[in-house]
Amino acid sequence: MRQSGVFHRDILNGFQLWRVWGYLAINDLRGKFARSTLGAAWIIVSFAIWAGGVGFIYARLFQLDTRTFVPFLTVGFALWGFVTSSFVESSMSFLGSAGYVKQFNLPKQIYVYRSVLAQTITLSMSLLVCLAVIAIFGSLTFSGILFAIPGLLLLLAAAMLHSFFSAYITPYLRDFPHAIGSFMNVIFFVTPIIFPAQMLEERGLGMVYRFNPFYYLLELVRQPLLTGSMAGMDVWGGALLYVVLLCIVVWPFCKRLDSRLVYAL
Amino acid sequence: MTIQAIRVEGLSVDYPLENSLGIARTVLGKGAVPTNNALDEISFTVNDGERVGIIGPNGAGKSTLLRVLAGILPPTAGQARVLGTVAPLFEFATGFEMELSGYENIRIRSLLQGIAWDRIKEQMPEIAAFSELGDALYQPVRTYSSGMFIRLAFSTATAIDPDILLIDEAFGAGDQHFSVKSAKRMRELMDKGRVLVFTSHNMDLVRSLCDRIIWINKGRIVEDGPADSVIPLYLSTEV
Repeated sequence: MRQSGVFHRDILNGFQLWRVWGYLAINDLRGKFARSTLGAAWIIVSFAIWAGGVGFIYARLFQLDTRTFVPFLTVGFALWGFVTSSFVESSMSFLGSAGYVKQFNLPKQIYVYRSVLAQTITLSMSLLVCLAVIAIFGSLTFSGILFAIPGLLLLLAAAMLHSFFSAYITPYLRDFPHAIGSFMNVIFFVTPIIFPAQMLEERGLGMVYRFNPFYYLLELVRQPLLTGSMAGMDVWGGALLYVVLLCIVVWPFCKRLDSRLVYAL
Repeated sequence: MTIQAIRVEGLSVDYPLENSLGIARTVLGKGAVPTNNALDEISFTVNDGERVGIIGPNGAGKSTLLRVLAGILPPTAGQARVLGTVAPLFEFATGFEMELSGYENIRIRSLLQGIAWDRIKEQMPEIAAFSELGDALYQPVRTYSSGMFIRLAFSTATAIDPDILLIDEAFGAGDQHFSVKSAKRMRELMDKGRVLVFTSHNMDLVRSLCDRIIWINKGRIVEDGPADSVIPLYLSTEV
């Protein structure tokens, strides 16, 4: 019998069941777009429409250079969507699978992996649009894509930790998804996504982004994609520090809630 | 020497009556989250080859006990050791992916039962045939009637070869034809399985399937013994 119950062992055993959560995640996306003609291609199409429309409008509005600003905005927005969903969508990992959790005895972490994978697939499709946008404006480089990969991996680690936290706290605190959703809406406007970081610097508001962990997570991927070179040490340092701190908080927190979680569903 | 398949020692389960981390309660000095004691220091062992019926009134703790044995609910105190592969057959009609087809739902449920990917492929025709759902299996399950859900879930859940079978009120599934069919499948499974733990309110059914009865009430064992002596006693006091 696959006796579940020990947290660190469940984390690993659950991960090895990739066939299960992989299948669930892919079918989540298929189910979400079921009965539509385009299906999951809507992820690409809707993001492409967004990037095309908003990109030009904002470039006009802020009087910024379209060639650099539109790729900047598109990549930032795609990454931000991923960060937000790691909090908001993942909050339903256990609650949405409550029927399964109460019926089958597989390690319940598979339902978190399921959410993260579905979000990662969505991000990958959005990033395809980003690559197209960057290519259109002529700054796509192979080295940029290559250097973005380590950044993406750290971003994924952060998203996984966000998801674990969100998935575990929500059954106990049903206000969490709403609260974090509104919180992230505010953070969106102080994170350099719709404006470049220099803009804050020029106005003496550099602190606003320098103490914002999401800025570092975004830059990890955005900087290489846009400039073709690895993100700076300061960015890596900030992002790594955040992920380590997150791990120190999230791991014991989830471990503590793990054994009694079924009762809260 | 007989081999112990299930060993339950001092098992207690407390259900929290509130969904909270208890932080607000601690701050307000209201004490711990209130709980409902569903199982209260239960101990028993089940040997290889035994068929155990769990009986008792509603809310006695029967389903809780089965869920602990299945490894789904963690005990508050004590422990439950279970040796061998376990097949829990509980509330069949929950947890479906509504937009996905019957086939995909069978695959998902099989995966969650711990069946290997390739094995599912092999079993699929047999599961599909047993469900008698035919072409409906290609349709999204949101189009299914409640009886069809039961057919799908039952056919999937019983396409296994477990050592220990845990059944929670599983009979009476679907229409007359399918009920008879599923009862027959159950008996076949019991013949294959080493151990059965079964809960039901249908005493005739319990008597026909189980040789040993554990009667529980309010989370405690009232009687534990052969079916012929415990069931009449239960009927004379409870009814």
